[in-house]
Amino acid sequence: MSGRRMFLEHVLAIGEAKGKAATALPAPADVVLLLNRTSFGIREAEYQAAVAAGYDAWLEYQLAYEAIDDSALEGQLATALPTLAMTNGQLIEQVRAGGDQFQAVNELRVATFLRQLFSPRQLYEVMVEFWTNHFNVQHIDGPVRYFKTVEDRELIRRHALGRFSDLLRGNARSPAMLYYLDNYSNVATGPNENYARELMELHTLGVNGGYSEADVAEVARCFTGWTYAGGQSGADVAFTFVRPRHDTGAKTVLGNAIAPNRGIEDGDQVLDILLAHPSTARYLATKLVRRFVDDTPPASLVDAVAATYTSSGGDIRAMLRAVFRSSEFKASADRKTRRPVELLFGALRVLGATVSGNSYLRAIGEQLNTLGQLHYLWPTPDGYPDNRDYWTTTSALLERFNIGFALAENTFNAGVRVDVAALAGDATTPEQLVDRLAARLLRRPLASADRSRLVGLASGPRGLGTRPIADGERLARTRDLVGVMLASPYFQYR
Amino acid sequence: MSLTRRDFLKCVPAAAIPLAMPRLSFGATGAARDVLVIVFQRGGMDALNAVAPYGDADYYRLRPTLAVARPGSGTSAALDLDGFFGFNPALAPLVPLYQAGRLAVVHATGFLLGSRSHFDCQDFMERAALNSAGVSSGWLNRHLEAVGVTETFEAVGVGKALQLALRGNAPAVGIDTFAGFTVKTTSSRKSEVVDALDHLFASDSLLDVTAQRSLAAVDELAAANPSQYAAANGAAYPNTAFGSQMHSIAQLIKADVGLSVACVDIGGWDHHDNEANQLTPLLDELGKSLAAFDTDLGAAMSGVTVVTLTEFGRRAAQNASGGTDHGSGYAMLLLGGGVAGRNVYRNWPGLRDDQLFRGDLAITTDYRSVLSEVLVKRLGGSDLARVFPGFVQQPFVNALVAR
Repeated sequence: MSGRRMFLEHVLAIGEAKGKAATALPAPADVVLLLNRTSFGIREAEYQAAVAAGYDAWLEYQLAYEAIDDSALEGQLATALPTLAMTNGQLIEQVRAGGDQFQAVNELRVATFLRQLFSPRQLYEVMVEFWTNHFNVQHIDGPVRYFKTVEDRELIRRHALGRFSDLLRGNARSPAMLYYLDNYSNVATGPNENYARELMELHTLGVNGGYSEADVAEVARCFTGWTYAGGQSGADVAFTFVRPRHDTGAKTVLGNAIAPNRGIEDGDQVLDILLAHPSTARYLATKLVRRFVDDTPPASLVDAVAATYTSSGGDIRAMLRAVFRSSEFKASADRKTRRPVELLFGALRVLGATVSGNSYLRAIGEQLNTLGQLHYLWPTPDGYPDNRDYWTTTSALLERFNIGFALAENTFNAGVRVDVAALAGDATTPEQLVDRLAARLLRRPLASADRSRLVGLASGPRGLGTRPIADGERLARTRDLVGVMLASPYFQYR
Repeated sequence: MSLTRRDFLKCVPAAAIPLAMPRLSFGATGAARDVLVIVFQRGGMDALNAVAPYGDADYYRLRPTLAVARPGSGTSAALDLDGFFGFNPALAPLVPLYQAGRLAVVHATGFLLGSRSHFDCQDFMERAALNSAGVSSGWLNRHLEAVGVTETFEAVGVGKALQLALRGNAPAVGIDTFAGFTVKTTSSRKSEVVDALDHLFASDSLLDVTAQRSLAAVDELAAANPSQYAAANGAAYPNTAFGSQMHSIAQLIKADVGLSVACVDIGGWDHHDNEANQLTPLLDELGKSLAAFDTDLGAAMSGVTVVTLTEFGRRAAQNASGGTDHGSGYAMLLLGGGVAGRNVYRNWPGLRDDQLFRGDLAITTDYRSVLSEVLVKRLGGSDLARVFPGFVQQPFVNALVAR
């Protein structure tokens, strides 16, 4: 426990040095917290609709995503990004015929940018991202650059708000995962443990979930022969079980006997054992609570969500209801920090930025790459980290600050426009301007000292009091405030 | 009391760690110390194919198609080091450093955890607090706490995230690129804007502390301007992330910003399949980057120690995918003027089946012993019981000479 104690000493020392005790920021309203955690940032229209509907109704509306019309966006994507609809075989054939081998990667990435930025099915897109990360594959890893497009469409997007068992069973048969974690070459004569280990450590039980090194070896044997085939002359690539490569001996997995002389049933039995295991319930619950509530998940809520996993048969919507209706959730303001995608897309969404042309997509990609969270590029199977400490180093914070300034000053990219005058509206005095921008961008009350500081910034060195900002200055002062507000802790928190 | 950002930064360690000072195991505070550079090879480097034990016949039994051939048997053969071990040919750039006595290898090192999880093992290596679950800080951070931090850029993690080894109470700075380490606004009131932002991060949360640290460090880095130092002596860093990050560390050293410890990562070592084709370019990048760093710094390397770490070695036997699964023992490289080089330090455990640890190269030298030796002999000492809680010190392998 010495680490904890030292941390407290450290905190006290800083508080003393600055002559200021630790203080929480004034909390946002519950519905604002809900919107921030279940979307990529609060757009004006969705805020108005959520407030009108109320907390519970908005949650149910977002959970019943099939009823939310996203056909306008999806129609545009289907026209502009033809690889989204292709099979593995078609994607391979297209490259073989001289196409760009990264077209599928790039189109999927663009589609994901646009869905996260513009889809009205925000919670659904948040969960697509969650499961993409849970079953992380690195997009540039060999044929994963084709296979991921199909996996995203047929598996992750199909079951993101469905049942975990469908995701897990489908993932075990997904060519993208079969390649990425090497199970495609897992054979009886020299088993490859890569998938078996990560299946238990990262997909189901968690590292302390009760399995041993012997279990890793035995699970690897169970999945020998699970691979994919196809891809020649336009034939599709799909999962297949190659019986001669399978280890038909008896095995023991987590204390369960796996009978000898069987085939594909071995792997399926392992998946069933893992799906029913209490460690899987706990691991998934912990991960969801960490994602939506707190970097340090409250045990009471983890218990409740794990119980929901078990009682509902792994119903993802039921687990999310348990999260978002909990008292722990509503008490968790500022317990989560925006990761880079949430920061950049959140800024674009609250600002109501408009986009045009194509160059802004490259700018977004470069910005996310600089910040270390470009979609589908995390190299290891654990997925992008979900804790503040990882994402907020000194240099990362400076990069994050600069996003707000670049957007406010319209220097981010020529295709991204922020209507700064519209944000200022008819506010004329420093106080009016601060209050209007805080309501629109942050949607939460400011601490009085912080409000005074911002009013002082807008007012300038000579002080304006309640007098209006000069017309020639108003845009510049609005830009200053927008940049500082988006950089401030009020916006860094999610 | 009102403090400027710079004052704030410098007051943090002193206020946070007063109790640590009397327990220091070294004499003169402020004695000259090496700059320590920790290179972490994420993914688990295959030490048996990087520094191949070609003198152990079992090596060829375990790796019939993957082993590095004995020296003298063609262009893909091992480069002999000591009659028993040889470098993978992709590490050719390091051979001159080895021969010159500035580079050493410690083989069959690591730590016995019983886990072969990447994430568990990286976590354990960087916290280095094996039986102390309550210790969340990194070993380098505890070292910094023990000796005290007085400079903004005394501890730097290069890359997009701060390495766990550097996380903790002592202030450490993350730098991705020098160009990005600034506040970019075209506002005519830039200083007021930055000042307002600084005050909005005025609580005691970790986010706020880090933000204020960032704002404080910007001007200091701009004044030092490390980018002005081009690679010297004909050094050619590979045009890769790791290559340019090693260059950045060299620039920080030349800029004399007070750097004491730096962490940097090179990823992609998890070769479960098709290992030969994947390991070669990575070793090439590693070797060329370290050699360029040595060339670039020239005489200044007398005050620099570079240590490579990885979370585990790989299974002694290859698998049927032409790769290797997660294992145990691995090899560390030590580079610098204080290294007693031209030696592969080991208590070789052997590769017979009954000599392996669960099928892995066994561990005969705890990596914490090697790091302890670095701290004691090159970093002016530390509080080893605090840096490596629960670790019973072993005799040093003596891979370094005392400053």
